[in-house]
Amino acid sequence: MSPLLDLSLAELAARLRTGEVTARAATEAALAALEGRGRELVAVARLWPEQALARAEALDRARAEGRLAGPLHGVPLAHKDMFDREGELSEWGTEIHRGRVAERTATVIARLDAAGAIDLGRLNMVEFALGITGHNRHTGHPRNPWDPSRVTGGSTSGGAAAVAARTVPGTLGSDTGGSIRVPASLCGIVGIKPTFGRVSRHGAMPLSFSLDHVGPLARTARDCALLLEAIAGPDPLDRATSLRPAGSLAASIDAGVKGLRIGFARDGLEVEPEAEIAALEREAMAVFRALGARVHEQPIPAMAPLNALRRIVLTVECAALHRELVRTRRADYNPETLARMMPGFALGAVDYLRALQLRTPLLERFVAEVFGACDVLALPTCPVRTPTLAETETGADARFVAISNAMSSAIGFANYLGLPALSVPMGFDSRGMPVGLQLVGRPFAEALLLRAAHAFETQTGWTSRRPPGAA
Amino acid sequence: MDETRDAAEEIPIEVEHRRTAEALARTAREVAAERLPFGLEPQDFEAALERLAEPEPATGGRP
Repeated sequence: MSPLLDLSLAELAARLRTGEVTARAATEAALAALEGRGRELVAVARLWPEQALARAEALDRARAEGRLAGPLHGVPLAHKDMFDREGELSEWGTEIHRGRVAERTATVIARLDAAGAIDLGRLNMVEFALGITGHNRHTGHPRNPWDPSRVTGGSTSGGAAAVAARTVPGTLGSDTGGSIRVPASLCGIVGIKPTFGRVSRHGAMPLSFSLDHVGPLARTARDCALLLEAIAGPDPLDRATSLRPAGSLAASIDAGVKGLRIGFARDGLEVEPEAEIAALEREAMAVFRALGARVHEQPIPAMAPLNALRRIVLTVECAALHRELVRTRRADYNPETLARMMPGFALGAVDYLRALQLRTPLLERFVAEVFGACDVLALPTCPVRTPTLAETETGADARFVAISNAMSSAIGFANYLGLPALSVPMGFDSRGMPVGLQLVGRPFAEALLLRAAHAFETQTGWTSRRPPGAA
Repeated sequence: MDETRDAAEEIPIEVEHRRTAEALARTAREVAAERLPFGLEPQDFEAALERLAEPEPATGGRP
C-alpha cells in the first residue's frame, strides 16, 4: 500500500500544502486502502470515489493557482455513518434506516469541507451508536486490525479500525458513553471527546442529546488537535454549543508537561483494572514523572453512582427517540442495541429529571475535589483487555451486558459531567493488543490534554507502531 | 401512580430490564437525597461548565 498512508495527518497535510503530494494521489491511495484492507476489516459502509476524486482535482487546481482551502487542504477522510451530507446516504448503522438520504449537511462535515478536507465516504458503526463492543449484525462486526478475531470497541468501530489500519489518517466519531475513547484504546490510536458544547452536533445522529459529543480519532494527538480545531466552535444550529472560540489547540502542543500535576485514580473506580492494564498505567505514570510532571495518586468521587446516573439519562433519552420505532419494528433491531436501550422504557420522569439536575452539583464537586489538586486526571480507558468477537457473541444476554458495562465503567462519568477526555495508547498487553490511557481535564481544557498526550506519545513511541497488514 | 404506565402498555419490557431500571433509579434517589439542592434546573449545567472552565480567554455563554 501507499507510503503516503504511513504519514501522520499533520505530515500529510504539510506535504499537501507545499504541493509535494497532490490531493489526487492522497485520495487515490486512501480509496484503494479502504477498498482493500478497510473492507477486509468490515470498516467501510460506502465510498464516494467519483465525488472525492473530482474534489481532489479541484483542490489541486486551486493549489496550483496559489489558493489553499485551509489547514486540511486535500486531506482524505472518511467518517462514521451518522454524519449527514445532503443528498448522500446516511444509514446510522441500521437496516431500519437502509436507504435514508440526508436532507442537510452536518456542521462538522461542512467545517471539514471549509478546511479543505476530502470526504471519501462513510464507515461502519454500532447500530444507532448504542454499544461499546462494536457488534453490529446488520453491517457485520468490524474487526480489530491488531487481531481480527477481537472486537474494535464501539460505537465508532469502523472509524477506529480504518485509522489504526492506516487506510485514512483521521475520522470523526461520536461519544455518548465512550464511543470515541474505547475504540481508540482498543485499536491503538488517539481519540478525544471534547467538553460538552465544544463541538456542534447539528446534522449528526442523536442518541442522547444531554450526553452526545462529537470529536476526532487519529493516530496522534497533534492530528486530533488539527481536526478538533477545524470542527470546534459556536454553532447557532446547536444551541448547546458554547460561545467560547475554538482557539488554537496545536499551537501549545509542544510545550511539554514539566510541572504539570497529573493525578492517577485508584480508589473510586467501579471496575478494578486487570493486572496487566494496571501495570501499564504505572509505567505510564513513570514516563510522565521522567518528563517532569508531578505525579500523585488522586482520590476521586465514586464512579458507580455517576455511571448509574449517566445510564438513566442515556437510556431514557434514547427510549424517547426510539419509542415509535421500537413499538413498530422491534424485531428489526440488533438484540445488543435493545439490551442497552430497554431499561429506559421502565424509568420514570422524576428519576430522569433528578439525574439531569444532579449533573451540576456533581460536576462542581468533581472539579473541586479532583481538579483542585491536579491539572490532569489519568486512568485506564478500559479496565478489561480486549475481548474476542466470540467471547462477546452471547446473544445480548446478561453476560454481554456485564462485559459492556465493565468496558465503559471508567469513561461514562466524563459524558455525564461534560468534561473533556482523551485516550492515548500506553502500551500493549501480553496478547499484543493496544491499551489506552485516559486523560481527563477541567471543562474546555482540550489543549492541555492534547499537550500531555503529545508529550507522552513522543516519549514512548506507542503511536508509531503499525498493526499487521497496515497500509 | 406509575408514570411509565403508557409506555409499558405499548412496549413490553422484560423483567431483567425492569430490574436494571429499578437499580438505576434507586441510585438516583440515594444521590439526590444527599446532593440535590431544591429548585436547581437542569439548564444550570451548561453555565456551570463555563464557570468551572480553565481560566483562559473566554467569552462564555451559549447561542
